[in-house]
Amino acid sequence: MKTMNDLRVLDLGWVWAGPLVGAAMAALGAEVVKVESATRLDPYRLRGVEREEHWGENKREASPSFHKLNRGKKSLALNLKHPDARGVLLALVEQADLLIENYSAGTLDRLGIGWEVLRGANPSLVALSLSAGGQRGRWKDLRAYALVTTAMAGYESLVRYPDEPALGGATFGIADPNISSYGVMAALAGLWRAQRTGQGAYIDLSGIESVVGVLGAALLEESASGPAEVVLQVGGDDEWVVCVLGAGQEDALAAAVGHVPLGESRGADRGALVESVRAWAKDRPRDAVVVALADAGVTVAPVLRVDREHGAGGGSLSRKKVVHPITGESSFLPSPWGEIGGGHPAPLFGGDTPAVLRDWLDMDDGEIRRLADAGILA
Amino acid sequence: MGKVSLLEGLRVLEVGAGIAVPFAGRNLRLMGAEVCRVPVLDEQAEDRLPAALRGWLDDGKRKGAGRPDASGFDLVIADGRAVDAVGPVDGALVSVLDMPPLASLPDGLADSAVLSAIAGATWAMGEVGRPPLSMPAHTAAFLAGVVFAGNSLGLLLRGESGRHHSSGLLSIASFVDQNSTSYLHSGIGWRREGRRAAGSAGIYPYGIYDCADGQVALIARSKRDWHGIAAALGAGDVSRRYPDPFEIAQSLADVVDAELRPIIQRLSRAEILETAERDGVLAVPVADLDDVESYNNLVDEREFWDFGAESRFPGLPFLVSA
Repeated sequence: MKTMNDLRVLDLGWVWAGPLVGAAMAALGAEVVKVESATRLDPYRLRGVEREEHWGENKREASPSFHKLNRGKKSLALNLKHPDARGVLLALVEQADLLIENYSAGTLDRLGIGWEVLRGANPSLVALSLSAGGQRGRWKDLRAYALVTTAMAGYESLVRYPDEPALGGATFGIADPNISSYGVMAALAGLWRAQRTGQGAYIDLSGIESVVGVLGAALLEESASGPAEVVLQVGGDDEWVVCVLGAGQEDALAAAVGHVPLGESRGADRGALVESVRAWAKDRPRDAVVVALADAGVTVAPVLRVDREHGAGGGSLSRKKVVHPITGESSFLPSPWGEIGGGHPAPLFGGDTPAVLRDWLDMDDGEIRRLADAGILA
Repeated sequence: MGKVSLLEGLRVLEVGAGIAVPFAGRNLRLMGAEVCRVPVLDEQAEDRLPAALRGWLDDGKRKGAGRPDASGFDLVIADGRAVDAVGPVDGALVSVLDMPPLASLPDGLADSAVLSAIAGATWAMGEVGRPPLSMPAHTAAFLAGVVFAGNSLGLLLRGESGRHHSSGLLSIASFVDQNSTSYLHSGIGWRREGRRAAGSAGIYPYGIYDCADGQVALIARSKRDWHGIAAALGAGDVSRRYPDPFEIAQSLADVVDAELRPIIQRLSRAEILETAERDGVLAVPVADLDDVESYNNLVDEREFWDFGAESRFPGLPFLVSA
């Protein structure tokens, strides 16, 4: 049986959801080859640097978003629209354990490399397709951008102030990451089975369904009313803490801020208590509020600021550094799936093309040059 | 193509607390694993989770009792607050999810608010000048559970044994981190200000607009997207006068919003969805939970919904064939 370090992954993903699955596989120790083409560049190679002309020809190597989603991978340039590229891809598929793609539904079929063809080339291959509505369903033609999936799945309707219209904009925490997380789980399950049985599988994953998949508590009405969440403004500019008040915690909170204990009619008294807490907290330093309430037995957390507290997670998580040959040093949070093989920077476009073709396919330099001259490795 | 249970033959012991680990166990079970759940927190804590949610999380699992014993299982998944109750592991793989320390509330409903706050997600949600908003409906804890399920399978594939810890906080924070560089780099604020929403990364439009019978979401990721949306909605004149979505995001969002809003308000959600499907533009209705529950099946040929006695609950979001 192969272990993760022996596994080979072809990552045909682009933008966010697909590449994040590949990044997870790299972090777990697999050899991951990003298959990409300059004829239709991964938009994330330019994400955030679209208008930064000072990069010149290196612009496609400069995106911080691309770097974070493609650490630990190799890059192979292959123009899948070239009629002779299909043979190269299928030869690579013969050597692969997992193929990841998140093109619009039906794209692999149109390129002549649909599941039946892939399975014919490698019966033990696991292939993972990520799309908005699945490959065959009623919404198969929707493009799977984050807000499409979260809006259609009902998630955005929950991001609102009470009695106001939906505000939205929470996709960074739930859309692509959620789709990728389901994708990683399913792909690893498929690989586990393939290692035991030698049989591959095709996983057709819907982004919209992935978002609905984590809304179980909201869809179960009884669960929608959990403990009350109270957001308190504290001293300083745009500083906040979150309290979660469960059964019995109102009295602990009342004691902490010097409010009279709640009586029998807790619902009526809770509003007055919350106002007392707000007045108590508003000029106190954030961390002092957190300590005081935690000491009193209240569930409380500071609202950490991404912009000035060492990024997401504040200082409680160790950031790692990586040096990219074009952009230099940057830091990132480790992959939540591990960090066995993700320490290398994101690859330069096509930078590993000859090496992968030699290692995976025993191709000689003359053949590689012929493919390049024919515009296949582009 | 036949249906496939990917984890048939895998025996999992779930030592649960909160939401995340039981949700990981639920997903492993839905993929075919045999899952035995041993509750280890006191009964009062168990009862704090609403019965319907507990039933959904535990559906199809065997229920064990007493001190959890790892023998006979391929994989133990455990909440860090409960793992010390696990007996001798004898070479078994114990995958442990560490959640941020909480002052109380071991029922897990607080986990999500805490994860969202200290991961940086809460600070980024809401309007400028108003209180921030947490990730809703405990989704941070559910998402941590999905990541943890994958994490545990990764350990299994690596041939690991003994205890391995993973961080629930890292699950959410690493995702926020993937976007943070881009937002800070582009100079667009995280908190909502007009249409300059978190997620835009400097390209207009990205956000939610009122339409004739509800709300719709508009998303552009390129100049081409912006012009496509405008043309499809009958606002081609607006995009001709404001052709650069980057410039709009930086300084003209309110001006262009004022022109776009009346046009969108004349269209229904169904008309906009039809346009999106026909023209491939990124404009879709904002569904509420009633809409979602009314979906007969989200995607044809799938068995996404678990049908209960009176309701139906989300299942796995993928179909597996061989």
